[in-house]
Amino acid sequence: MTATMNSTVADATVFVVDDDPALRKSLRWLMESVGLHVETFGSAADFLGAYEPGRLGCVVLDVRMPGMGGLELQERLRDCGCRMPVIVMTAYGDVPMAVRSMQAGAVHFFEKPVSDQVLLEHVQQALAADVSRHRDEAHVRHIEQLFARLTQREWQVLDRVVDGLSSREIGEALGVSFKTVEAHRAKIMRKTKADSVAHLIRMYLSLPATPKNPQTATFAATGRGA
Amino acid sequence: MEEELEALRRRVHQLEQQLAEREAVGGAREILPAAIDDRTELLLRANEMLQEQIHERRRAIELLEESQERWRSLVQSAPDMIIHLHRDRTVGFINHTSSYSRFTPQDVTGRDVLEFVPAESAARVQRDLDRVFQQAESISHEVAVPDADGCPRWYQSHIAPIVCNGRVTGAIVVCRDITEFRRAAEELRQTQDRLVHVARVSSVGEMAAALAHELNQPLAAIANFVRGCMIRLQSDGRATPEILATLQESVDEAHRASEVIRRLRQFLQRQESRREPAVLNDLVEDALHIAEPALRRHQAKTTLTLSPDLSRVLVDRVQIIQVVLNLLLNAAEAMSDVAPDGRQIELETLRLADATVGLRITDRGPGLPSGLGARIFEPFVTTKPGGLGMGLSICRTIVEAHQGALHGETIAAPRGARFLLVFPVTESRASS
Repeated sequence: MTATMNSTVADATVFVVDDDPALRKSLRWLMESVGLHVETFGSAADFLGAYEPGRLGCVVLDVRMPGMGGLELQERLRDCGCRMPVIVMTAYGDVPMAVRSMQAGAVHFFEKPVSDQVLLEHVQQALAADVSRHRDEAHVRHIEQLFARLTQREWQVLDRVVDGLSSREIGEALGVSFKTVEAHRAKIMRKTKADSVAHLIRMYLSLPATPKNPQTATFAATGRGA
Repeated sequence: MEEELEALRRRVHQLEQQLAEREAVGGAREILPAAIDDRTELLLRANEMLQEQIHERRRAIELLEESQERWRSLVQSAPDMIIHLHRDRTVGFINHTSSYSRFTPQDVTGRDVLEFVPAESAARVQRDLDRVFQQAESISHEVAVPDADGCPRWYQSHIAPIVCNGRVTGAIVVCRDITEFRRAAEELRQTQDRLVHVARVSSVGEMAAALAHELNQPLAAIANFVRGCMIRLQSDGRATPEILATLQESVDEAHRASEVIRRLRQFLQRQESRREPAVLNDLVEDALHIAEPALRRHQAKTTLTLSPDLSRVLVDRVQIIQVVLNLLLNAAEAMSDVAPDGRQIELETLRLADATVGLRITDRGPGLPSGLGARIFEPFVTTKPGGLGMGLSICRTIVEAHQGALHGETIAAPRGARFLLVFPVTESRASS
């Protein structure tokens, strides 16, 4: 399920990647006993083939697999923008292997057999972290969509509102009447569904300042602050 | 008057005689100087000829001396002992005695050579000398002779007859000190034995590591399965506390078994790990050296291409040599069905990207067993009758413990199997 702002841990999946069929099956059996949704893969390549970006969950993988190993899979996932938490397990590991896994972005490194409480706890945490990350991202995307509906004039007004100018000062700065500024402000509040100026400013500040953002484009166009 | 005349007549005669005498002397005076000149010339020429003969003689003697000196120094400076024996086995000449011997050439000359041969070899030396003298055969044998301290030194002696007019008049014996050679050969044999032993011992450790992996997997699965059951039973209250407690015990036992394996593995690993910087080329050459007799037995020929500028790797030498040895022997064994002149193994060391170096081993066998794929690296997977299937598994365990990688593939044209060993390099360059 693709993440939305209302996603919960119940929408997340544990992706188990292990070359040992019995171990795969046992992990599914264990995790499903606490109500987790599990999908298993016999190799890193199988998992990469089935992976859909945007899905919620975490990856539990064995670092030692024939063909593509766990570390390489971690790198591939990172390269393709997957930010799902990764939990690495191995039948036996050493410190360098653990360090390399963690450096590659794993959130935990376990030696098998790991106590089910510990494993389930970390899996739950990883799922919660992923859900909350997705939620944050979805929230930002939602705000971006709302703000995308503002006109250039409205952005000019908004920038000055955020700067703390009064409607009168904004009117003077932009060479329009107080009433016109007030009308723009009402439209901005309506379009962004802001409850209050404080809410509006909070949303404005959560927007990433990327060049694609009209916010930045406006900065350049109006020469704000000059 | 008569008397006077007579006297006059006598006087005339006398005068005539005198005149005649005087005439004769005058002629002789003319002839004499020429005769003397002739004689002198003859004498001078004879002298010249004699001088020339003397000169030639002297030159011949010089040449002879020179030639003798050349031969003498050749014989004297030869590292081998060169002995001339008369037919009665007495020493006629010896260039030098061994620096380890307590005898000088003067001690030996004129004495029976058997006096200088230890008792246990005397009979054989005598028998061999008899054969040389009687049948004019050349014979080689090895003799141990104690040195001044009584330690045995080994000599290889070659005895050749001297034949004069169809008769054996003596023998030339050339003795070479092969003690160091024998010592080196013995050392090599012992080193090889030791290496095989170390390899075997280290195999136990690596086998334990591989087995730890293989046993931990099912143990982990058992624990997961049982815990999954327990959680389900607990959540809908279907099981009594007794059953749950027993199930928990089985989970605990599975964990305990894993712990035992983990400790065993740690113990074996701690004992083995001895990493040092090494050049991959050296390790490959060492492995090739050890594998040589086996490769010869398999009639497998090797070509070695070493990359000259390889950075060092940080490895346990013995373990990596063991890996290369394993791959080499696998390659040789894989070609048993190939015609002997097609049994080629190519070894190539490479500088690879990402600060790694590699060794590629290519054979001309049938390639990797189809359908097995990457499973050839799993324990107990084998295509060899009677094989345990631990070779490649151990190789992979060793290589991965070195943060390296081991890949295998089948290649076509010419068909064969190709293995690639990759190791990360340490920062220092081999040449520095």
